[in-house]
Amino acid sequence: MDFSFSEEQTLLQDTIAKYIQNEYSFETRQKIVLEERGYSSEVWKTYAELGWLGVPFSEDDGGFGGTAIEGMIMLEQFGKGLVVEPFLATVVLAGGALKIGGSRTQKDQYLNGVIDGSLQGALAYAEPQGRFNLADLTTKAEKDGNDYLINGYKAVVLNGPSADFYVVSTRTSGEQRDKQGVSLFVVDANTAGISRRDYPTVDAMRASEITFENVKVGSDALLKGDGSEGEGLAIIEQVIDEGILAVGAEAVGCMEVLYKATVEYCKTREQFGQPIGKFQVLQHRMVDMFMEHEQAKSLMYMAAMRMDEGYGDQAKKAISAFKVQVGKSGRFVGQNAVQLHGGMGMTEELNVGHYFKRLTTINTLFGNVDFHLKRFGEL
Amino acid sequence: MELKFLQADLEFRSEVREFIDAHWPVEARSPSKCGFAAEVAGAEIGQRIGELAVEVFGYYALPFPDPLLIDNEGPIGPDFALSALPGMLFSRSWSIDGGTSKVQKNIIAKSVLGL
Repeated sequence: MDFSFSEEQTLLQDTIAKYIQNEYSFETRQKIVLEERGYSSEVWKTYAELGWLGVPFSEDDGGFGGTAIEGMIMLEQFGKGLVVEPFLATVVLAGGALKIGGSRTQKDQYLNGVIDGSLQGALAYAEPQGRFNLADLTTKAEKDGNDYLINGYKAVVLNGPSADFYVVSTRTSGEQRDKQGVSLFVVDANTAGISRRDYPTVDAMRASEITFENVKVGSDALLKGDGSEGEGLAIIEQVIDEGILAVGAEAVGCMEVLYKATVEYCKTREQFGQPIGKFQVLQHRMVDMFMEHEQAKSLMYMAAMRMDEGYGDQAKKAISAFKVQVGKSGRFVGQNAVQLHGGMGMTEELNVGHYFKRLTTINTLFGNVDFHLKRFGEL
Repeated sequence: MELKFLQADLEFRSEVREFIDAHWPVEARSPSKCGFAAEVAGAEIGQRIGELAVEVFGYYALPFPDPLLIDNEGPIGPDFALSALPGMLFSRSWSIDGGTSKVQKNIIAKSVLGL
């Protein structure tokens, strides 16, 4: 297996790394978080100008035809910078749903705006009762002549407050947890009948609770890929798996920052007459942190390669394995980074706690360790 | 299923913790020794409970509204969900303040085990 990056991939990695280093310090990030949208529109514009927002989309769709590897490279760097701009929600999730399931017209209508930075999107897929089961849906879309009427409630919709359009998972037939009968719709955020309750999340992102009340959409809003109405589960499952690769890569970036910062801190912090890094107990702990990061990184490469070989059971298994590792490693590295920094690790001022928050959120997003261990076993 | 195991594990460990509290003062020559063991065991159990709370609430562990903006619409998600993740984060300090768990273990190693 060849794990070395191509020249273009290395260039992409270096460009983003340099950008984060020069323009996106932790202090800058903490200022951006306080802005009204929770991210910087200026920074978003820069991403668009640099072409980053178009990386995962095919050239036919107006993008650069990047593979899973390019996505992985980008998100790992974003993770290192603890980037709060809604790349995940707009490009990977909402954009990903259109990429996989959108018709030519739908893609033309939304993807150009995503790529040039003028449109924000969000994927409304989770429901309060559904936990991590993508098919557990009480939100219904019922035929009304040539249109559909959507009624229901969506929980913790990432980037909900800023989104110009939503991709919504609904039930068009079948029972609450049936695999058949799931349909996705792309809906403009200002459509009558949509109401939101916005809030920040623990990791300084923004999300919404969204209520759909007799929201009328045309049949041209149905995202169906090659299938037909009621076959949307396959699309959303693939989108979520691409989302897992994205947040997992972000977590790998977070872990690298944390274990390196911890090692540096333990070299300089003195107690009992010597740097605390001289104590064997702490050395072993840091070696464990390093190993957890390396294991997660290895599975990240495997997951990205499997996704590029074609989306099927092998890819799904690799993604679930990666998510399990990210959950376990992220918790271990995050907890121990805080522990070894001592009281400092608990403060708002130090970046360590903020990385730990992001790692904790990532463990929950798209299914936690238990959920993916089970999925891995069943595939 | 996993949650049930976790819950059982916690119940078991809480009992161990209580038992440490109960029997140490009787057996130990120096009552202060039990304090060190209790601090280490107590911190670990508290932290595990914090993790369990985050697992239980799933997506609803994530919202973190500004407390000043909370209005009469009620909490986001189920009751108590809002405090789960901040509680878990705070529980990390239990193995740090008052001497880290590692310092406590050093003390146990020296004064209890005589190493």
